[in-house]
Amino acid sequence: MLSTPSWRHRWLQFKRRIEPALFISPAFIVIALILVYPLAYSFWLSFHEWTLRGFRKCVPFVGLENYIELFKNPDFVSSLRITTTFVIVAVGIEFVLGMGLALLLHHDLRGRNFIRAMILLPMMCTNVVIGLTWRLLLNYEFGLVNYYLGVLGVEPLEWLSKPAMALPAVVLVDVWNTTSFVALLLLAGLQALPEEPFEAARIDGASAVQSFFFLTLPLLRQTILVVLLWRMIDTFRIFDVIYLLTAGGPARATETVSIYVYRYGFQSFNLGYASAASYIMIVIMLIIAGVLARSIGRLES
Amino acid sequence: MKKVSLSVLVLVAILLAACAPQAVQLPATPIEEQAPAEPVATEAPAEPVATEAPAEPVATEAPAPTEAAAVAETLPEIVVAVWSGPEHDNAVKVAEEYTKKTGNPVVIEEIAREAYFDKLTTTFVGGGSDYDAAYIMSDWPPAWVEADALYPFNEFIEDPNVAMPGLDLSVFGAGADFFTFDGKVYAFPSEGDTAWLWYRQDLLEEKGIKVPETWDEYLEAAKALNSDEVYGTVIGAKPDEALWDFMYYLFGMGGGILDQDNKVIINNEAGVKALTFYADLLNTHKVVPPDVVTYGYNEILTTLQEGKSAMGIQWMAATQTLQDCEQSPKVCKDGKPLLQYVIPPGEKQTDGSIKRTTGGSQWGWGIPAGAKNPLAAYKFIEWLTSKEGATLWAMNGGIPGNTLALSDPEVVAKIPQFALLAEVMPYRQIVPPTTVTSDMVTTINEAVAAAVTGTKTAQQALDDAAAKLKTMLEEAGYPQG
Repeated sequence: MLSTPSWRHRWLQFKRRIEPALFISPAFIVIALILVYPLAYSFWLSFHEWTLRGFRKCVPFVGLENYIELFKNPDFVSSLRITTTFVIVAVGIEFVLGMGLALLLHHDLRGRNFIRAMILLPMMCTNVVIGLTWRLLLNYEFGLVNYYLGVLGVEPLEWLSKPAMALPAVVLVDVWNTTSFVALLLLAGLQALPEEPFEAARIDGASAVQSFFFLTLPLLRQTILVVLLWRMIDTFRIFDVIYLLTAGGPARATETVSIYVYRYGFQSFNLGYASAASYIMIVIMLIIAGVLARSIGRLES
Repeated sequence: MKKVSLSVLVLVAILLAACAPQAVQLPATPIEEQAPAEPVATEAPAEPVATEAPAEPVATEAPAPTEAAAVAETLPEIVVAVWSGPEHDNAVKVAEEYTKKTGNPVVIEEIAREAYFDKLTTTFVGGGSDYDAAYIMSDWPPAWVEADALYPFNEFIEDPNVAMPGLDLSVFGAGADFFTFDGKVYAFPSEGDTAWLWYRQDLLEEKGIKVPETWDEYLEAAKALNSDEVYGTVIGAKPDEALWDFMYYLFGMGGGILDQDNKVIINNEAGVKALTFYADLLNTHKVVPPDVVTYGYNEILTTLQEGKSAMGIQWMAATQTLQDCEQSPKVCKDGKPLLQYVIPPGEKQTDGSIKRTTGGSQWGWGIPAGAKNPLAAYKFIEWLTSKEGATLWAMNGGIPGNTLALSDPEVVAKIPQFALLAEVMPYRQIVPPTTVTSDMVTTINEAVAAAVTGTKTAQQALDDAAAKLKTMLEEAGYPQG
């Protein structure tokens, strides 16, 4: 008789412990299948030589050879340099413009809702549509951009065909596409700021510029870091827009790491090498994310 | 300590997972009997009786009682992959006819051109059963065959209960060789094409210039025709398509990619001359649109259609569009097309004759190894490439691989460019099919783009490309000596 409550107690305890695990297990299994397994498999691949013509026979272990080859390959080093330049310039411009827009929309402005709706439009387009549309707009011969430059008396520009122009053109499209997103997040941050410090500053005679640099920016730091974190990761892995605009050309001038990985992974089907390049990309993104996340954490504490 | 144990475990797992007994992977042996890759390949003329090494009709003795009985009955539905564009539209029309005639259902699935190779490769190599047949380029099968991703046709060809009565592969001319490896046939050819030199007859007549027959004449004509309104000519050096345009200059000037022993020759004197000529059209003579590094097939087509270029080398698939006044009204006058076409220029020889060599591509219909209904797929392909199917394919705008259809007087009367194609076939070259051809194409594309953008000289670009090609071919088992 005494054993019954003890058995029931143990069962209830076990149930209590196991139930949450059972509830989350479907999600966990799905995540494991679609995220953890491919990540682990590609990590494994990065130490092997997997090629289309050889994989049926053998996928030999090559240790760090793929990683060493990558850093010896000037094309990969160049793609890293191009990606870094692209991230810094694009995110920098997006941040400055996004902040300006957010400040503008934060004030009582006539037609504020209309402007807000308009700037959100680019966010509603898919990247494929954006890439194809801008490719037409920037076409040297038939593009609208050069047409209007011509109306203004400016010589048409070879936006996508000159190596020196192609990366700025890609930056331009990315800025057009995502500045509104940056502005939206910063606006949300601005609206959540307390009113009191700004009132106190006004009473003390602080100018708008002083308020911005000594109050707005420090108080908004956490939002800024989240925006930068999100945008840097997103920009670092950009593929579709660049691929549709230039396919990494001309003469590899816009070949980012993602396009490099695509070429080796899905055109040459050298999956070991492409996986190693992907892991280098992941490590770089983790470093960026780690540094920014630490800063956010420090601010919170 | 825990971390150290974990690291050791991971390392052991990685090592165990590798194929220890075959620690060093031997390079893949090149497939024997593959299509010749000599710089001056001579294909069989497009005549019913091919003169050189056609794939022999396979002996039909002792047929096994295989799936033959099923052939008489209605076959299951098949899904056929075709890339977007005129080939897809044509396949839909021809498949409808096949279904009407046989009752066998066929679904034609359209795949975007940019993603076509990737999509097929991942599906075929992964053993996917999404498609029962596909429209494939001759560059792709060597690697797929080595990865066991294609279904050989021999079991069907050799079975008289399955194969069409009187099936004769020699009607495909040399086209069949591009899809035959180690005696196994992996596709029936279709669309053995080339490109023409397109020229604006009105502009040439206005300036009193004769249609260029040599490269020097072509350059002189381009310079003379170049004006503020119209470019002298147009090229397409887009990063992923450059070779498909440059090949006409490379082969046309006597250059090549590999010799008959599969040794790299792209950076020989003729190759460098061709790339220098090609890049100079933009950088020195400025007779092409300044943004040609973003041009591929579509952009060249638009430039010609819009009347922005007086000349241009463009694939024969564009003929219908360029000569149709409804589709290209800007290059038509009084309902007649102003754009005319001829065989691309050649090299003038010391005796005054002109030596012609030109480029092209070869397509066919194959069956993936993972196909659910290979027999039904084979029967569709067999009909599609027969004289009847190929004629229908031609009448709908395609280029038949079957020489009986290509030389049919009724077909030639309706599509006059086939007569010119038959003339070109004996000296037409294609990109050599090897197990690394897709990588070779990427490498050459880069070299062409580098020379055209001026980031490298033609010599540097081709030397760099040749070094890369040699390494990849050596690794794939094609000794470079």
